[in-house]
Amino acid sequence: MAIQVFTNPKITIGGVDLTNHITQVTLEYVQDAIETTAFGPGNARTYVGGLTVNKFSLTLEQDFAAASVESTIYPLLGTSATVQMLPLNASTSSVNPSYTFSVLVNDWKPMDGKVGDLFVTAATWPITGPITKGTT
Amino acid sequence: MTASCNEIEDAIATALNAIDGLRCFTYLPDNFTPPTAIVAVSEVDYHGSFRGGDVPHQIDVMVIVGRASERVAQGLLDDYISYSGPKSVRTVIESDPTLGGVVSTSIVEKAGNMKVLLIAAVPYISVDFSMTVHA
Repeated sequence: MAIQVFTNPKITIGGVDLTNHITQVTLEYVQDAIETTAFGPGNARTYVGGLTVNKFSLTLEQDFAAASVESTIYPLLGTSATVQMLPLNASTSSVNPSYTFSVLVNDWKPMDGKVGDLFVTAATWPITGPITKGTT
Repeated sequence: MTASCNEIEDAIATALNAIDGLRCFTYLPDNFTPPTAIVAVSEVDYHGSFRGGDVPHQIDVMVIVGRASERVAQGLLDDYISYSGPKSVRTVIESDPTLGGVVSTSIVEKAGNMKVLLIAAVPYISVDFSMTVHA
């Protein structure tokens, strides 16, 4: 596997594959940096890793049809949903790892746009619990 | 499956042919009798969303009217570029943005660039419409 252009991932939310309505996606892993700097001869701050504060962001083309965007996301509001992402729409492997995690669906804009634009909406959801990376 | 350029052009032509008196082509005809509309895909963005879920097409529609009478020609073009009315290109297209179910949605963004054309030494007046189709 070499570098690749990002056109054909697989992204499921609550078990529904919404990939072909998604225009942008970000899985962000961030760990708090807990400072451990102490007096000593060195002149650099030191840290250890603390809690992770992971986020999942996406932009979707809104679609009110059955089994599409709105009918999938809206019922999940206020609940946790499983998200799975793969770089390619193919089987999980070491070069096509899966990332599976739960998000708290606490942000949703069913309508967001200006006149004449395509109906697009964006959301950022906190990840609750760990991210599981699969390679087989 | 995403509609082809030909299918999109045909769908727009079918919609525009509903305008009384307007003849619509998806190619540049050797001979035509105005008023005539010519539909052409000018740009395709293959990756509007992941996995080909949205393929935006930019569409140009040129409407050409005869210039035998400038006042009549101008009045006819005004009918075509009006926001609404039985000859409004925008109204006809956006009355069914799916173009008969061929595309996901479409919009006529603007009309403009009115100009005089000389075709085979015959003067015509034309106006351009810009459309976006999400296939």
